[in-house]
Amino acid sequence: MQLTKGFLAGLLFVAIGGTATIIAFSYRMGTSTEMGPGYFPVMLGLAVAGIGLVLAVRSWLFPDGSPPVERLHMRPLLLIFAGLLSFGLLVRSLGLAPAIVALLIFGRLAGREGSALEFVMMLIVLTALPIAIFIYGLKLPLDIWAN
Amino acid sequence: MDLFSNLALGFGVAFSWDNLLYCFTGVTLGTFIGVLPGVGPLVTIALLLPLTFSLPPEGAMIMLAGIYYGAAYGGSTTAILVNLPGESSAVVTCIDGYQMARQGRAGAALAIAAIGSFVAGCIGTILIALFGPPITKLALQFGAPEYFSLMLMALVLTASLVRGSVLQGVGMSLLGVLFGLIGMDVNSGAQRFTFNVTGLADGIDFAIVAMGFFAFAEVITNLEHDRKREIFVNQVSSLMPTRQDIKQSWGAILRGTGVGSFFGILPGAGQTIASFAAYMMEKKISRHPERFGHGAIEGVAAPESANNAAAQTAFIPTLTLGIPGSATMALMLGALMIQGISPGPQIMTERPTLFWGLIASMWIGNAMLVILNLPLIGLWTRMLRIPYRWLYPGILVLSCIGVFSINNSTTDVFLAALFCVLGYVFIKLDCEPAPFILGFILGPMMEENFRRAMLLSRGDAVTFITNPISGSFLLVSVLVIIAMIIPAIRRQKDTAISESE
Repeated sequence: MQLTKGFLAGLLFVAIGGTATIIAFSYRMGTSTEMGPGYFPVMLGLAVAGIGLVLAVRSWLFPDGSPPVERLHMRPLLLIFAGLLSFGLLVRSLGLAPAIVALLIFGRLAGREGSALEFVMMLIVLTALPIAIFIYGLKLPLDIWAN
Repeated sequence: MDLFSNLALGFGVAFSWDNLLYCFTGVTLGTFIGVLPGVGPLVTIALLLPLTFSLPPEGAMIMLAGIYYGAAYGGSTTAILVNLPGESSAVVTCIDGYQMARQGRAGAALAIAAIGSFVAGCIGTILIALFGPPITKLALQFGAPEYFSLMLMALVLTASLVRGSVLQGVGMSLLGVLFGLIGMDVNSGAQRFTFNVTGLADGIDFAIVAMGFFAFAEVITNLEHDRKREIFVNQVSSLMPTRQDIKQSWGAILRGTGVGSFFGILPGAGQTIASFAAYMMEKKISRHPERFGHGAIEGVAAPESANNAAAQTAFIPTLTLGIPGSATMALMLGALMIQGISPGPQIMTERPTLFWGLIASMWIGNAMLVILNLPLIGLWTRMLRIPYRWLYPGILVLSCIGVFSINNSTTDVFLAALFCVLGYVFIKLDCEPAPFILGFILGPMMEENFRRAMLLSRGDAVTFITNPISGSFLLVSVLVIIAMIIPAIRRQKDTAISESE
């Protein structure tokens, strides 16, 4: 069977809606007059899961109605994700400059284009400019290098 | 006369040197960033948001309004020159605008877009001044059921405008509402879906989701396609529209403004509906409908005017009801709240300088756009030739700093990374993010009003139908869903959306 986008989208909705419903059942439900924190999320989770189920069944029965899933490009996805994580990890502990450098190295690995010289120029400009604007210009509470 | 004293008050605020400078900076930066390929208006505003944090509330809002118009105009420029709509309301502009550009008439198309937007902006400003106060009075009478049904209608309108299945659109908007509930429940103080992460207790800031979906996930998809995609930038020769261009478009500009002003007041996809409706109407009433799709100037003038008029009147529900009609409006609202101002019917009476100053500066921003852009179009087209490999590192760095600086929180950066992955999955599954985003924004307000309405009616859900205003909002929602399920209309919508691609 060919996996279609509609089918997978349906499954995704069922998974998220279902999980949310199960978690929300642990909150106090209350009554329809005086709703507890669980009432609305349970309703909502069930609705999302229900819609997901209809979508999945529909795409399974009529696979022509939905395009097949394309190839996933894991390289840019994982590398950009890693770049964002390293920015988050470094910006406090080491400072803004190292965080930007790490982000740009991952970004460069994700794109793999342009000469090395170009990359070095970009590193210098994209580190210096934000520091000038945000730390010296707007005085945001960020350290260039953390102690 | 109230109208004139209000506008005079507004222009008094907006014409101070400081505020003119903020407006000018906003318009320039907004256009500058918005014109870059792959950076839509939403990301532009989000990127420039930190610049306004240290300004006084009036200055911040005025600069943001400038950024908003600059970014929207930058989006039209990319739509016309390279066939890349920055957001859904610019999709229609691509159809005839890009054709005009290919025929070497990009200059005329850009000029008419700017002039049309300016005319629409002028009329929109007057309309807000006229109708803002009475609508505020109406809004003051809205209770919980009215608010809930109004927001539901906004979600349905947005969900029904996505490509493909309406059900999937509704699913996305409900999913957005679900994510919007993350954090502390305001009524009971209970933590929901926070998994003991302290950074989640106050909920997730909307800008983080927007950055994850529209900045980071977009970078990833662009990196996949970049080698295949050749951006063909059209030459811009003569800027001035010919006398015939103006003769052909002035009617379209006025009609577009009318259509746009009407739809802009609707919360939900007002701007998108407005530009589509204006385009369809021009095509219908034109004596030569066959010219549309082949570079008809009315096909640029009408949707651009409608879009801008709607953008202007969309400030009415955003400011008076506190219900943003689109993701970009939500960012504006978020910026307002960062300044410590809560939007709602009271804003017009409690902060008249802010409200009217903002309205007046929108007009000034529009005027600056025309003055600034006509001579600078040459520069913008050169910026369109910047290769993507030089752009995306800048987008990454600025977005990361932007996300971090909202709350000075590293948790926010990690959350943005997670939403980036989720956004990428959504893109791959053809799930459009717009309904999700709107659901996310409206979610907490919807729950609060739903619970309050049910409390007032002693648990009887019929209250939403029997209340006349609430009932009519629900009726409209149902009619829209039925209309979208009817195959003929659905096909027409899909062709309209895909025609531009």
